[in-house]
Amino acid sequence: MNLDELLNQPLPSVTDDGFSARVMGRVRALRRQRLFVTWASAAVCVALALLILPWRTIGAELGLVVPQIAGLFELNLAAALVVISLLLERQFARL
Amino acid sequence: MNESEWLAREAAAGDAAAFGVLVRRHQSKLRGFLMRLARGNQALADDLAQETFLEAFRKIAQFGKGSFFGWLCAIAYSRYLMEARKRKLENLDEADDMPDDAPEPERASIVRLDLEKAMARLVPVQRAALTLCFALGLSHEEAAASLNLPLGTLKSHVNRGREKLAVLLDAWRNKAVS
Repeated sequence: MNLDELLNQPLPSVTDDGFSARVMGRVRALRRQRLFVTWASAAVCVALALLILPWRTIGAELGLVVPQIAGLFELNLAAALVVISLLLERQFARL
Repeated sequence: MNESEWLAREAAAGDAAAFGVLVRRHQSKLRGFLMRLARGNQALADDLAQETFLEAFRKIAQFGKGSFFGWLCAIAYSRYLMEARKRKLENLDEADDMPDDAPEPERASIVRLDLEKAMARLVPVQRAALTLCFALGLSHEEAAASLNLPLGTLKSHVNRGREKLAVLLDAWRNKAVS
């Protein structure tokens, strides 16, 4: 057998013996850790927003503005279009 | 797009089961590649293979086009180099002097063992280049990308590695015959 033939021989196959399961166990742990970090960060952000933002002032301002814009035809049309496009997207995704 | 590329896209979109299929599909070749790099140290090869798959999962969104296995090998090779530097496993630079302790004559006839022993004498980049281009069937371009080398450098590592192997195997064969 010449050198090229020797080198071209495939590597001996290695049996799995639970290797893939161990890797996937660590992958799942990594995903849980990521998910925890994501939700914990979101919770911290919400908590900070609740503490820092002037909710009373914002509420009072919204109380003045919302009744004025709620009756706008253009706004209602835009909202309806958003809802319809989301529904259609879901329907097409199922096909 | 081949099936592994498609599975990698699915995994990047959050499908862990798709990543599981990739692990099962490529584990044998990757562990074989690392075993050769680690000169037969199976425990080290398996540790590095696990770390390679975890890093691949973390970076799966960065996988572009091309051979998924080649991309895995790139991660595995850089992990091996880091580990070899950390543990001072071997001289990573090209060594001109080759030790001449041949295997015992009764074992010299076992060609496969001879190849592995001779491979272990090469520097890691030559071991990796020869394994990727021959045993694992990657193209020179894919192997160069995996080892982060220019194509010409990869080819010269392949040629020099082949020459060294030929010298070693011939010397051992002659010693076994005499």
